[in-house]
Amino acid sequence: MSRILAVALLDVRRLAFGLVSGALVAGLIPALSSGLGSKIEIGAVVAVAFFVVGLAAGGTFGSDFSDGKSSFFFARPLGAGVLIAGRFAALLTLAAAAFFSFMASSWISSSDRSDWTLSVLTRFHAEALLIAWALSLFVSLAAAVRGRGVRVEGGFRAMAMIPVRLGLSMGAFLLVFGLFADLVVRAYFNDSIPIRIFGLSWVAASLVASCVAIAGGRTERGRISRYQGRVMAAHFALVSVVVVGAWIYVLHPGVDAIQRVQYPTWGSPDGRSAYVAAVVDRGDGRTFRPVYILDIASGEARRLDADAFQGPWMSADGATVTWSAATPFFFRPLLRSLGGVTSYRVKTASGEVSPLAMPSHLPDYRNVRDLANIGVVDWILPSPDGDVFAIQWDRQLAFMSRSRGELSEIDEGKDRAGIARGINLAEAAFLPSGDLRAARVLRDPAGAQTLTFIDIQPTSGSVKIVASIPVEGPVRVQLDSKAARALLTSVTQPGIGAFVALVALSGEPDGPRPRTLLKDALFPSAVFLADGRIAGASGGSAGASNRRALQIFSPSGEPLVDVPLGAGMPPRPGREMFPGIIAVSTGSFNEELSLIDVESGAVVRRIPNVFTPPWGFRGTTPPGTPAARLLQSGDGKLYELPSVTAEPRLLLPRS
Amino acid sequence: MGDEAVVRVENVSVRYNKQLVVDQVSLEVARGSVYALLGRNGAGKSSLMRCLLGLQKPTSGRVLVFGEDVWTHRARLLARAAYVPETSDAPGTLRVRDVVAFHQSMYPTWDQASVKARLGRVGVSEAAMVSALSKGQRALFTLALALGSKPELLVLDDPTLGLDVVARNDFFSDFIGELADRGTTVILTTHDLAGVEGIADRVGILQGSRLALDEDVEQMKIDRGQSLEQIFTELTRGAGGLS
Repeated sequence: MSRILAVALLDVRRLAFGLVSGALVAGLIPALSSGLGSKIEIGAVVAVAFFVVGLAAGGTFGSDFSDGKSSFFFARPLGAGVLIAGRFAALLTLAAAAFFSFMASSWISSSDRSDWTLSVLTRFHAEALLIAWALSLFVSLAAAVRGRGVRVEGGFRAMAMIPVRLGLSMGAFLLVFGLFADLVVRAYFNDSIPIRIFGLSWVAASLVASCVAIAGGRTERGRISRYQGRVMAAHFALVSVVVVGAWIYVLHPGVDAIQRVQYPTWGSPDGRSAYVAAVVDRGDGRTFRPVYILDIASGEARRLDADAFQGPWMSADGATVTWSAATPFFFRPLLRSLGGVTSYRVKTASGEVSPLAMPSHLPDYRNVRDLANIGVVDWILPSPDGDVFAIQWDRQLAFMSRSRGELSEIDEGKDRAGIARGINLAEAAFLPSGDLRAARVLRDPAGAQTLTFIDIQPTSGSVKIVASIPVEGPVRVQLDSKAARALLTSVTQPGIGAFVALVALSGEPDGPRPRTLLKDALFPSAVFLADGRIAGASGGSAGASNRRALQIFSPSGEPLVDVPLGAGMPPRPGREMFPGIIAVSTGSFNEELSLIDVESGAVVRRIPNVFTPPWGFRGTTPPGTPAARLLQSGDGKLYELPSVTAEPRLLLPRS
Repeated sequence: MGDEAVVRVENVSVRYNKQLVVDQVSLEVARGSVYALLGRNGAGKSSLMRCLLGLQKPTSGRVLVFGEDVWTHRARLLARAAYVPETSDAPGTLRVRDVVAFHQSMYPTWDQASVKARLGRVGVSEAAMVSALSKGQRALFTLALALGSKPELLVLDDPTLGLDVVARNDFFSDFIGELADRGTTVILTTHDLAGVEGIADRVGILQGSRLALDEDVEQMKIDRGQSLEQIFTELTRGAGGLS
């Protein structure tokens, strides 16, 4: 113990004056900043002070090994462990001295001591001290032993090997750090623990490397350097194995890893499959929600290896599906520069998967700057024939053809003042003619808004206005399966409620006349039924709140059936699960699903604690098909309802 | 001599990358004797010295000090030994008294009074910074520290470097001789052949990284009829050093 203290005392004698003086000056900073009108946290300045103490102590320790001067310690009866322990004790002593000097200076200089306290130290301060010490020791030790007099065997072969070794080292580092960054971005973006573990592992490795090198190399520079290098190489190898293993394990979960089924989950247009976003037993639970394709009949599921929120997007008939393949983000610019293809894929009706050519203006990982545009595509809408793709990103809409290449592009960003709300492909549909029918809201100089339905010719990019309807406030648009009618749903305003209107887009000579289905309604919503009828629901009216109702309208908007649903939260019409049977979330808090016969208005069944997956986009699902009969529970389970009377069949999770 | 050997070097080689600086050297140093290890610059003397103290691990072979492997048991064995490096290794940012206090904590046998007296004799102030000492003062300060622990084994790597002629003569005639009389085993390297000739019991000459000669000094002079300097010159002529 006395030897540890003797070693510690040496460092304290060497460094105390400078560090304590610096701490006394630093202690004035909070008061000075307060006088200038800004507030600097004492804890933050203390952390910086500790970082400086760590740098100084570690640097002094490492530099003691320059020019063989470490014999001062190793030629004495002093073990390497005692030496390291002594230097560590010096670090703690110096930190304590700096802290109390800082706090004393801060106390004296402060005019308002009401919230002054000595209890400012946290784990963060300990980390700042130790990280600075470990890194400073490693660097200064490496510099000391690589000083003058170190000669490397030369020759042409050695010279030629330099770029090879450098290239291999850089490649290995890029691979491991790139995979780790990919892992964090995809699965741990909301969890700092992996980054902390990764970073601190390097700090710990550098400290271990320094200690091993000091104990094993003593005064021999070459041996110290070798030990440092070997420990760090071993750590790099270990990190490589762990990172590659974690990347494979975390980002490639099987079906058994599913813990909860989450939004979004939706049925395929052919009614056979479901696309299921799931929380799995790995990742941070928020960032990473892989999508599985579930064959409902067999219960078999497989993961779609897609980027988050980059698909799958499918054509109205479900035959064509596009998505962005989840290749490592940080290698994409490199792979593209080497002639690699875009990450976007298309699966056609034949089941063939091939790269999807993307618009030239899309920031699609062509260079390193594009890494800032992760998940840049808002939506891709394939045409039913699987040849033309409407691709939307950042107020840009482009049409790509698999057979003809890039067709046209519409830049809505050029007219921001005139376009109150741009085209939303989630509310658009390809017509049999090949044109894309979409809607956008235009604003005239006086501020009046017009909802405009347009047909866009993909080849030329020409726009033809189909209908213009004056609107106030935001309006949601829902096209029917033929894009011949549209349901407009406004946002509920206090006191006046909202409306649901039906618009026929068949080219009437005087322009379309919207037919109001629900007026002054509270939180209304409506859906097209398979036979063209419309189901509309609301939580009552502005004048008669809390009177929920479901109404069935004819295809032209005539009211047919009125179903009172009693008091409670505004109901939400779900899918037409069976022909003529629509599911509506009811109960006081929508905790119950009611199956309602749209002919009679009779409630044929009530199923507690479930709801139907969200609908209204990504195509429609034919009633009576398995995908139309999906149920979700609040605890993340996905069911299929085999018949009106049968018990729900659990699909996911499997356990 | 084997049982009496304080230091036994067994087939020690030292290699830096591809450069062999000590090649299969074996020697023994008897208790109470003065062993002078000679050689031109770059002959491997300092490397061998560091191996003797466990500061450096031989590439092959081993060094036994007091009968034990010095690399493995360095800290314990060095409680009985002291080292004077070629240039002072004391941190220049410390004061003399701090360094002395450090050594006092290291050695149970520390003789503070004799160290103070010795520093006083050579004019080294205890309040002085180490970096402020002249080259000669630093050498004498280092010697004083080495002797303060009353070592059984003293290893000196070119200790007269930086000393003037008078101090150098005093060093060899009085200092080392006194130590030898007290039974302290001394191993030293030096270029001062005249100085060492009178005090060394045995001499080893490194030439071309090998131990070219390891003989009793008096016997060697009788057998060869030459002075140490003549023998050294003859043996090492043409052997290039690294300077």
